[in-house]
Amino acid sequence: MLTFALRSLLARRRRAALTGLAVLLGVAMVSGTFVFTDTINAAYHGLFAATAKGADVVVGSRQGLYSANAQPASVPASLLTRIRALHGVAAAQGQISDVATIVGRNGRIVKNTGSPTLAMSYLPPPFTGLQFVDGNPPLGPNEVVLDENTARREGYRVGDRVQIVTVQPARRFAVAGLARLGNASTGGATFAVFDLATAQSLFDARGELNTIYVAGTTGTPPATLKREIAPLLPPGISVQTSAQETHADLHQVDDQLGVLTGGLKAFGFIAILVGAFVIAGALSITLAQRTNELALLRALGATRRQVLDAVLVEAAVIGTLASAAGLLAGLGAAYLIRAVLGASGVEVPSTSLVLELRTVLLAIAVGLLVTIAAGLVPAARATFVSPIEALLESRRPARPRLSPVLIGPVLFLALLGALFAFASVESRRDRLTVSVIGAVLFVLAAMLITPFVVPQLGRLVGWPLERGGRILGRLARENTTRTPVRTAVTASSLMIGLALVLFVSVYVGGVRASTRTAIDRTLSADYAIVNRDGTGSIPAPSARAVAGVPGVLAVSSIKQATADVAGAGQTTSAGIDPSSVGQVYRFNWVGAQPLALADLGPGDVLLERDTARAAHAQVGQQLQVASPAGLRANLVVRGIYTDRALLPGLALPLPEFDQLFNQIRVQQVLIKLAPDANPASTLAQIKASLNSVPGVVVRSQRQLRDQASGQAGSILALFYALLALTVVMAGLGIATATALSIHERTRELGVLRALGMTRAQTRGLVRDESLITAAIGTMIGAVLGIVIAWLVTRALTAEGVVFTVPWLQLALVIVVGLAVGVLAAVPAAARAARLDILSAIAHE
Amino acid sequence: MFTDADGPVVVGRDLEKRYGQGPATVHALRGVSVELLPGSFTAIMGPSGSGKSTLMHVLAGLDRPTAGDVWLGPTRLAGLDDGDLTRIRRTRVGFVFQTFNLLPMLTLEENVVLPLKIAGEEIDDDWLERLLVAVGLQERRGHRPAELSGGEQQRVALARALITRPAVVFADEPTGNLDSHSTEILLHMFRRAGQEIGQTIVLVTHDPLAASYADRILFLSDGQIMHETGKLSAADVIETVASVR
Ligand SMILES: Nc1ncnc2c1ncn2[C@@H]1O[C@H](COP(=O)(O)OP(=O)(O)O)[C@@H](O)[C@H]1O
Ligand SMILES: [Mg+2]
Repeated sequence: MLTFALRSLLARRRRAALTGLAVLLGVAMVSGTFVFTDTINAAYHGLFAATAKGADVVVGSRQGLYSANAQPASVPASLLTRIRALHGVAAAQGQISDVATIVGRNGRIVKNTGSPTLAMSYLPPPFTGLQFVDGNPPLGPNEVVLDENTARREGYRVGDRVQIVTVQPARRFAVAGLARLGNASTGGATFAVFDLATAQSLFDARGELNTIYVAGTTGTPPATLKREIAPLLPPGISVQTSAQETHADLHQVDDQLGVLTGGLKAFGFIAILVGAFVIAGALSITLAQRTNELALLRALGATRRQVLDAVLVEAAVIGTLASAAGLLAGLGAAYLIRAVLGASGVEVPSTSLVLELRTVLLAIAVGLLVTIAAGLVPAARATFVSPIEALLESRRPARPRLSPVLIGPVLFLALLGALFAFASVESRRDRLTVSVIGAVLFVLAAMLITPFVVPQLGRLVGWPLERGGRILGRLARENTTRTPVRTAVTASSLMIGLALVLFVSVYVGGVRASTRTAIDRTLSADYAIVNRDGTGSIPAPSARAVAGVPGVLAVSSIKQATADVAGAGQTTSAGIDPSSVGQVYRFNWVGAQPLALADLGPGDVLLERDTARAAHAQVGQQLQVASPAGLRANLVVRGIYTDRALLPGLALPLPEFDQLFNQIRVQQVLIKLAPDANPASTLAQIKASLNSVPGVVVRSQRQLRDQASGQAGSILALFYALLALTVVMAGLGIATATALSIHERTRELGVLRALGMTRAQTRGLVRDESLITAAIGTMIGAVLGIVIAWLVTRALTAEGVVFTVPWLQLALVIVVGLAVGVLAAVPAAARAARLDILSAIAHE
Repeated sequence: MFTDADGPVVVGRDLEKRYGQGPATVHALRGVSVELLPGSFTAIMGPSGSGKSTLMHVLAGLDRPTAGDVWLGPTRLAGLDDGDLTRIRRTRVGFVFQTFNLLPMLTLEENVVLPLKIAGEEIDDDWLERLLVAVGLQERRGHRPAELSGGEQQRVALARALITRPAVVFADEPTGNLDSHSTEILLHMFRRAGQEIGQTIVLVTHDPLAASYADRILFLSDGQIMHETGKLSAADVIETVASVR
């Protein structure tokens, strides 16, 4: 049997090769997605780990890559000397971290798509996580080390002079070296490194440090070290082992990158689904042929066991070889996505490709299991009835009827989906989760039902091809619909990809619209002073400078930091000025307005509704809030408002905020003009008043709104890249399926050619078949995408997320889907047109 | 269709066909010349491997000879490209294969008109009716091939070959897969086509009974025409086959 199985593999080389190709594609889809997502995760985590390198214990707070706007608390530099004097301390170094903007050669601020612009002081060994690519550490007041990425992009080399904007007026520095953090690239983040004294003077921190890194002597456990250091610290300054610190940081990354990591996980799942469909689709095409062969074997006297062995050997050989190749192809695919993203200017942190054991196992499991399962179907068909019955059965074209066995589950799923969708409108809590479950159920129901509607859909989408009695269009349609299951399976991968594209675009469009609406509704200020790059903080004197400008009615500063809120975790926290905020911002209260804003005093806090929900807090209750430095405060909730755009998280009166966060600089300054002020001349005067303040810009309400609603661009681009991968893989799956289907019908094509079908007509026939399959997938995908988007956005109606039919994207999805169909047919069509008529007719 | 009504429909001159090279060369045809006159019913007989199918393919423009020339009516096939050959097959040649080769998803009637549809030509309804009646399947025009017996399927294939009113119909062992009863019915229909509409027919077969329906029999052996006779009875065919060897 073994030799038989191998022989039949050899004899059916083309079939085996195409099946193997499908397995390869499926496995590549899975491994490529996982490698890519693991790599991004590893890069983000690697960046964090690199900043705590070599330390056993960390004193004070560290500025994370993802809380660039939160200014870390400071400790007196003298603390460093006292820590060094401790018994178990081998080495200790202090660091300043802040933000600084690098100016490009063209005099413009380096563009970094909203990523952090970090500044830090150089940490001498053993602590530095910097890896120098070129040059040396910075030395003296005029030197800086730049991150390698930015330097490369802007064309800065060691020895060049570069202008850098900090709290101080812009200054020129000599580039002493180029470095990277750990092994990962920082994505869009930029950093500038100065020596400690320079950093202290640049950031108004003479005699201060933000963080102290401590290495213990050999044999001193970090916990002991921590206990020794704790008594030396001023109140509000914490000490943590670097394990705790890294853990907290990673936690924070996952928190901040929730959308990203959640999305990447979802893509892993989608990849498995699409991969399995690509493989199953290809194998279902040769089902009849394989059933026939196995039935023949049975008729010739092979036992069930022998047939089974033959199938397993064949599946194992193809599955193993193709899965191994697929893994490699997956690495290539991951590399390619990254390259494409990079080339299109989307910056995500990255490191060398990460191939986890989990990825290998999953990818091979998908490749092997689906191949074997698909191999067992014809074996079962051929062995559970008499050989002759099997032979006859295999020659009859199969048409699925809506069997009672399936009606049940399909109805059940659809009902359940509808129920969940309905529930999402009724219940107020977790509506999003519920509606997502509903959406998934709809997808499953759609996938189950697809084979049964393939004939109808085929007639619908095939109509233009058959119009006027065009027989070849008709043949193409009949060919795709006479095996509905395999057409459905082949179309499914495209369906999933396109449905997700639509879903994501509707969802993102809805969220953006809601952000815009929210800002329109809440922001009554005419202008805002913000950091040049849009995320960092600005010097506090900005507000004072503007306040004196004639025509300015009100000026209100807002500070921002990240706090740990009991029950809600890391929460963006704003400091507002109760006396002036009402003139520039309208709170959108949940329920009646609780108290006059001006009455907001120490110990009071306002919660954004999401925070209130997460913390289970109600007006009048107490809530514990902790600063990154470890200071705690028990605050009374005075009101709950909704705003995910400008004041997400919570809002505190500034005096309370300052006590907790010890932060000098502000996030933005909102400006309201007097009703009779001349906007143009007032704006000019405002700008003039800010001449002495470096690194700030004035934005109009409208600019602010557009900026806020346009954020998350690079994460979105990443998702779209993965979706594109899904669609490409689906296309390759259809291409393989079409090639197999042509191979299977070689004789039919030979006969048609003999009856007068030209080469061009042959190509057309093949193209139409692939087009119809793709059109079916596109159609279901489009409907599904919009339904899911409707479900999910509906669940978020209260957040102002609106559902709009995305006509443009819909048109785009249809065009792409059909193009996939046309392109996928090219190789098979070329081959079909080249067929030698005589050997085709002789083909069995 | 043909301006030269009395000239030969098909002419093959000094046809050679070789497969492979060097010592492994197979000579499927070693210099065959034939002329098929309008309305003639020719059988090509010979043992398996004697080159019958090869000759038919070369004459029908499905294959190119290694040497020699083929004319289909006034057209010399040598030097025509695939598109020209396809157009010639559409209009001037009809085929009946050993395996029935109907398209399973089309009805019987759709299978019959398939060549016209492919060529994008008008369907002559009267002609279609006449053919369906002639092959005795007018009642079952809406059925699918799977619902027909082998003999019936082959009759559909004959009607399909005739629907374009071709100059010549080539049939390669059309009775090879049929029982004797179905064989006789089919052969009858071939003969009627010759008699009633003057259809030129080439029938490749190794069945003496089938050959006995033809007006002219060519005996092929090892790629050469060894013998040629007029109409023979089945018994005489068997005798001739024996003597030719
Ligand atoms: N494509 C081919 N390649 C190589 N040899 C072939 C090919 N087709 C036919 N032959 C050989 O040519 C000879 C004639 O074949 P064929 O015309 O099919 O014979 P028949 O139809 O009389 O049985 C045989 O020896 C056959 O093996
Ligand atoms: Mg033959």
